[in-house]
Amino acid sequence: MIDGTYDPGQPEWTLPDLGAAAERTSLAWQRSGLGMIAVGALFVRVHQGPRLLSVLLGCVLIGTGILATALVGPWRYRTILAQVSAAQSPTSRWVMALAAVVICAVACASFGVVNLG
Amino acid sequence: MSSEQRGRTSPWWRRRPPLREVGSDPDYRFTLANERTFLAWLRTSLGLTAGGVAISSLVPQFGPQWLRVGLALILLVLALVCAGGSYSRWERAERALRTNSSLHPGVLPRVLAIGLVAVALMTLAVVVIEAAG
Repeated sequence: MIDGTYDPGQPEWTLPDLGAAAERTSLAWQRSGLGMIAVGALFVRVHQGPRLLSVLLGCVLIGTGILATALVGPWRYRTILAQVSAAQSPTSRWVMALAAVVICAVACASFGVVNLG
Repeated sequence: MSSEQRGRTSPWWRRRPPLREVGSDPDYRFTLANERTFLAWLRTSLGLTAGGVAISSLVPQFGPQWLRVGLALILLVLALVCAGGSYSRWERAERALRTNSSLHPGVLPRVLAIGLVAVALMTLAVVVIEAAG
């Protein structure tokens, strides 16, 4: 439980903003996941290139979006609270690298989905 | 060994020390704000991808095909640049936070702004030409 009282004599990491900052970050992950699901649905529904590639891209994006919304968001909230309470930096490098790789791969593969002819 | 000598002999992926070994832990709020900025760049990339796919598939009567293809290509290239640049931008900002140095804005916002202005101008030209004709 994070104490919501403000004490000017305490170090900065005990400020009452901790829960809100973690919540904003968790919500940002969930917004990103919802965006992935929406773009994935677009790939599944609208396509002019190879049907299989389009559906595959859509499924990858929807799956990643579900993971980000249902798992990564709540997981980040819990780990941020735990790490900051233990006076550790709440960096999650590998989750972000994985998300960037997935979005990069989708952006690359989408050249094959649109009609460039 | 100086950093210059190490830069000559080491491969490029070993030039920089691991993130957690650089400087000291910054205020957690800056780290989290940096993470949210990274996610905002990813969402921008997703939106650009959706725009590129939509303009090539959903509006077949919008201007000549070469223009639709051009718009879709610009949007998809911007999406790729945003997605690729988001992680390096996050890491650069995190290193700057850990070493208490100033944050460099980088070229990503400028590239995105130029690309989006080009897309907007091309779209405006089509709308004006179709309205006049």
